[in-house]
Amino acid sequence: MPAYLGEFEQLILLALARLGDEAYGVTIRETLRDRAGRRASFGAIYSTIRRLEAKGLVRSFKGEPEAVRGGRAKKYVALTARGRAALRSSHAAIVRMADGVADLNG
Amino acid sequence: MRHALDRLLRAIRPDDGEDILGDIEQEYRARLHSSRGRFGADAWYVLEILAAVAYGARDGLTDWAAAFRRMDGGHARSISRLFRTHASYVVMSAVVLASSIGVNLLVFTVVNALWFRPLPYPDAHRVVTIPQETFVALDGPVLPVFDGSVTFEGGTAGQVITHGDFAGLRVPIDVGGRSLETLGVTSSYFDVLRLAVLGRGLTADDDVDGAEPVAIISDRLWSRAFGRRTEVIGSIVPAAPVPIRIVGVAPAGFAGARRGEHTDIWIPATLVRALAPSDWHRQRLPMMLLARLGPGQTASAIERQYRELIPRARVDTLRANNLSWALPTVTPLTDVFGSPDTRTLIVGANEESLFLVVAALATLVLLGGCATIAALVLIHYERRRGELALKISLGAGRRRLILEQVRDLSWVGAVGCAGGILVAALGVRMVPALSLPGGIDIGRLDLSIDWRIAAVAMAATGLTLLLAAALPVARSTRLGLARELYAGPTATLGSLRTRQRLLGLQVCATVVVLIAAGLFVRTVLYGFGGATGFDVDRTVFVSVQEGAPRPSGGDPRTLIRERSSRLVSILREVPGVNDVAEGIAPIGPAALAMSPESRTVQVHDREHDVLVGVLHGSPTLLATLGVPILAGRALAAEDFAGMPQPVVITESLASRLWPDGDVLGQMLSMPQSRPGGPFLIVGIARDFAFGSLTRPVRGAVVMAGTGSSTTASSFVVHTEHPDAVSALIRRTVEGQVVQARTGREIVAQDIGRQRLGAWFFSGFGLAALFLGISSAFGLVAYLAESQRHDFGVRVALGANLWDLVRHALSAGVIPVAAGVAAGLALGGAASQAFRALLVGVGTVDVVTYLAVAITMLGCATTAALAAAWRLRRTSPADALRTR
Repeated sequence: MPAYLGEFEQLILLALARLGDEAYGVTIRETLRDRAGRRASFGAIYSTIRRLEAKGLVRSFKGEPEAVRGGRAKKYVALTARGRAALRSSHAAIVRMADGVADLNG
Repeated sequence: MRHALDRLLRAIRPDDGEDILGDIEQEYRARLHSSRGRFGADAWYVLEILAAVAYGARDGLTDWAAAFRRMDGGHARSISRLFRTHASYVVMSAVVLASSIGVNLLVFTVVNALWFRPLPYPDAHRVVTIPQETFVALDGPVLPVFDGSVTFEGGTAGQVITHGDFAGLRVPIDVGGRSLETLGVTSSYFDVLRLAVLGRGLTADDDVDGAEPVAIISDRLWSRAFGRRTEVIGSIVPAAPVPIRIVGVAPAGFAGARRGEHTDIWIPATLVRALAPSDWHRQRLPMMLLARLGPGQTASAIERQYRELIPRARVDTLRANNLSWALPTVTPLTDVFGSPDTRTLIVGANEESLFLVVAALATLVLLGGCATIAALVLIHYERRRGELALKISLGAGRRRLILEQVRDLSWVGAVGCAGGILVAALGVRMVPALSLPGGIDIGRLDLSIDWRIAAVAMAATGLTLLLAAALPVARSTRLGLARELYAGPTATLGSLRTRQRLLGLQVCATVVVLIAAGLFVRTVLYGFGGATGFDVDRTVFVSVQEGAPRPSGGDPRTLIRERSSRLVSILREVPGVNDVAEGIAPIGPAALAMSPESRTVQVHDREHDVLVGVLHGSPTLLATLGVPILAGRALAAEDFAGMPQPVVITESLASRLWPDGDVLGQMLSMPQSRPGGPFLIVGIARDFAFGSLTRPVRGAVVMAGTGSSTTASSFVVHTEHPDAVSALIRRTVEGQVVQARTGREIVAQDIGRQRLGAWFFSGFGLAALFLGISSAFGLVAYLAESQRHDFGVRVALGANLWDLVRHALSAGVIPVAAGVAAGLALGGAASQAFRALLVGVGTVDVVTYLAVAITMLGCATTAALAAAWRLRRTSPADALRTR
């Protein structure tokens, strides 16, 4: 049974799906800002990723240390198969719910 | 700052804190090149970290105990060790810091409340007041204001004092069963103060006879009694003595134009008159004028304008009779204090000089505290020299050692600072007890600790520690410390000399403070001792104000006499009263008005200018006051009609006018007085203070007469129980405005400033004495500790206990003696600054100086003896082994 997703969790998962291998804190934040118009703090993004990781919907792995990050490595985040299924299911539910709602089409 | 924030984030979010920091760092660097620059980037950085911390805390990502351990980075262990192994050092340092910082914080809180706290209306320094008593000089109504001779921006406003001694009128409004502070004002009051009223302000139509009773209430009352409900504005609320319609609410934080006012209701001035209990009150409503200076106007220029309107001859007469205070004065409201129970007090002149002295002495206490802290820190690091030398030998860098010590000192400073704020907070609750009758009621000031003052206190703590610890820390982290330790005790001796100098400095500051305290205490003792010359402990002074006798009621003098006789009978019936006489209190405003700076006394066509007071009263007045007749006789009932009128004079006046001693039966006259004489001297009385203790008195003339005027009667009551009797009198003489004050209350009011000084300086003196004693004790204890080896050798060579104690004492008492000598010299010079406030005692008062020197030397010797006593157990073997 697919996990239920909150609105911000859906946005994060969509950002991960869009970014592919380049998904880490800074790019996720930029994507949320550019495409969804949401100004999220890194604290909020990482809290959500942590929650999604606990649900098994995303996985993370470390990159190489970089000078521009003060010698710290990037933490890349990617969707798991379960995460993709949850995103698909959630999106389909929204489409079904929206179907025929005049206000959304008008 | 960034380092601390990073550490906080890592502690709160141990799993992803580092990842977040990496992203934040990357974004931060990009933002550095944006248009908002470095400041914008830094601000963003701080907010981003705080947001991440908040999300971490909200989502329960934090194990708080582990976070604390990570944040602490080993600090808790080192603090615990510091407190465990050096408890006496930490406690002593914290107590010294807390007392010196606390005392300063308290003093400057009072000073801030009295002078610097902003008044709650715009451009307060441009609003001036013309106190009511100055109208006396203008002969009639306040013409220069109301006839347009002098104009102000936006006109003038009046403020009617509805409480207080002037008219004895109290018009509090009761709302919900609570009596509220009420003020009568003219319609332009809020406009002159440039305050916007919620609802509507008072209008000229509200301020006429027969108008509906309306009021503006304070924001505080609106909130407390009416829950800020807007429908209250415009509605009639039940109140006593009349229901009132609330038409507006004053701005938040405003409770009156003067410091000290706590007004909750403002009503039209005319309504106050309507509520006054009698015509007498109505005619004597004390009014204070407020005005806002226009462009180019200054308070001093307006004052000159006023004075030019008064006829020259009248000004000369006022000055000649020492009534210069009755000339018009124009004072900025920032310089006045006033409450419904006191007249307007100008706090920009005399009180300022007193508080400047207080502030200077508070700074001295801080200096003393600084010296004590320096000595304590010096001891602490001298004791740790071995440990520090070992660390240096093992390769510890100087920077690291200094940082370690700064960290320890920071904790001591934090504890001391918290203690200082606690001391000040407790002090703020106790200070209102210093309220002086007729003076500044400190309890009515806003004594909340201002954040700026608290910041200054913190800075003072930091600076004190920095100044005090710089030398000891520098000494104890020298890289050559290990070699010095090996070579011998030179550093210890150097440290001892430094400590002796610090002790001398501390004692010097203490002695200056104690001298100031001693001089003020001596002044107060002088006032309450025999200085008054009358029996202050067994007298009550009663003043009864009544309406003037009606013109149709017969001869006014007869009516006054009848009224006085009736009141004397009533007073005699009060339980505990031994005797009653007519007459005013020899000390106080009434007597002051009867004793100008100089009065011409004529004896055998020869004129003498002397400071002499004239006291009218019933024949038993002097006996009731407890003033004995030294020669001749007391006044008698038949002396009322005697011609020439018999009088009794005081012994100092008698010796001045007739140095050869032949006084009784002589005649004198006073051409400038009413009556002017001639007077026949029938008796000589012992000297007693007249007018004020703060002015030297040369003598008094006592004559038979009445202590009553058309509107007021004054009596002196002799009793063994003045407090109980004064309360009984106030209850017994009902329906009239009665003031009954004991002799001690009269004296307390007269020397109010001196009492305030005595309280303040005694507090400082105790704090400084405590610091001085602890310094002396610490020095000798340190000597005992650091020279244990030497003592051991001396004991091994046959020295007895007395030799050791003498050696220890000389180290402690010599610097104290030097400090005492310097302090006495400095104290003598410093006391010149408050010479004018001392009464009955000179700035070089041998008793005070001796007492201070003996106290300081005695305490230091005792402290040194107590510390040296520990030496008696010095065992040569133990001492040599410790070496």
